[in-house]
Amino acid sequence: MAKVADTQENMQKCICGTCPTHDQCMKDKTQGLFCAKGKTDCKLTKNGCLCGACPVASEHKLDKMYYCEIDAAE
Amino acid sequence: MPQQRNWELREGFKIEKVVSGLSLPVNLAFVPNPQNAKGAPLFYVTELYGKIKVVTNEFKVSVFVDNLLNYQPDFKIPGTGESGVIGIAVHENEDVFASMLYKEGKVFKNKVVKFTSKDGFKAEKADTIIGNILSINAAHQVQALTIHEEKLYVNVGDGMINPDVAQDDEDLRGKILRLNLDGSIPTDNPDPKSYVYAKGLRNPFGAAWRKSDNHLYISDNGPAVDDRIAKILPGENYGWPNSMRTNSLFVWWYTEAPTAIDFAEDQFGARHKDHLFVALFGYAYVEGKAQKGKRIVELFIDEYDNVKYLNDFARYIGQGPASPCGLAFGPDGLYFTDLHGEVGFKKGDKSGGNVWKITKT
Repeated sequence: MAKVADTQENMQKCICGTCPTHDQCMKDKTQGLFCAKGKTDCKLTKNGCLCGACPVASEHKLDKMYYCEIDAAE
Repeated sequence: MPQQRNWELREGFKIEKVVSGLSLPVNLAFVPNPQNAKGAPLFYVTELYGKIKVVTNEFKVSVFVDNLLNYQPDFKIPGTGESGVIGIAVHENEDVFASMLYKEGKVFKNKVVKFTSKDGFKAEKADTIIGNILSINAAHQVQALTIHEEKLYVNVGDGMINPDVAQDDEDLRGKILRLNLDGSIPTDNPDPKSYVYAKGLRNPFGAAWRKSDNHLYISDNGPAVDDRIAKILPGENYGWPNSMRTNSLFVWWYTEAPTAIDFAEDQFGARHKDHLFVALFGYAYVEGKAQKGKRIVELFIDEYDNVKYLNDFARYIGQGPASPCGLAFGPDGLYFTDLHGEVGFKKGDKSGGNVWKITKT
């Protein structure tokens, strides 16, 4: 599992913004790319996870879900 | 029709576009005993956001039924737009069964509806034969439908939020259900008081019956790893959420998002007979080349349930968002949908999806 760089290129590929768990708080704080930036400080309600379908996750061979909760990939 | 250069095929096969102008065509199902008369219905296609279309043996398209969703889809793919009307199966008497989402208050639920018609061209009656199954407005909803020996088999996703429901015998999510065609519970189900035929599944998009062993096979989408093909046995537990490998025949560790599946009969000759063809969709929306998916693969599963080989069969090589989604063998070849088509809704085309046919040269 490779560490994910917090870059504009990865941000453009990131699909966190369309995830059912990405709520208004995260949108207001323009949060995303949690696998690189780390977990959210918003109150998290799990409504499903798209990490497994994300190009950033597969390019870095990430094998976990809910990076918005568990923190950045290491 | 000319060869379409955006698809690369195994040598000895050709591809042609038989239907265009569809809107997010998901799955297709053939009429079991199609009539030879010109203009007779040949197959039906589900369009994700609320329509079923009928296609004749001359490849003319008309609306069989529309306005099937009671909510407004949001086109967020990947995400909350990955839901709607998905599975379809056609009975020998030409009744059409389709699986879909509906909204009750603020809650999304799954249901299966039976449509009857006089001539196969226009649904005249719709009966919900099973419903009230909790869902999510995203992937992992009710998926493939198959009919076998007068029973309807329904693939139901786990609803994504709480995967533990796949192990709960009282919850219909994460299961294969077995129903009589009127929606009642067959008395010979593993539990005669339950629809549940098998459990422990995550997002079982595809299903097909294999004539050589009279069993149902399914595709099931894993989380970050482990997509799989499984042979479904009555009363069996397929392990999710503890494992996607339990009782699996084949696993893609590097996920490819398998969607529809079907077994070849005589369409491609003896070398391919009884082989399983699987659409690997890949990412929900990617233009051009992608690391995964965007192809159809062929598997040979032997009599001991060993997958002896897997080969690429067809691969998208164009610049668009097209990727194979629905797939089924018709009388003369392998048909599949490409969901987004060449342009895709993100560039303003909501009607770009196609149906393609692959035949031997």
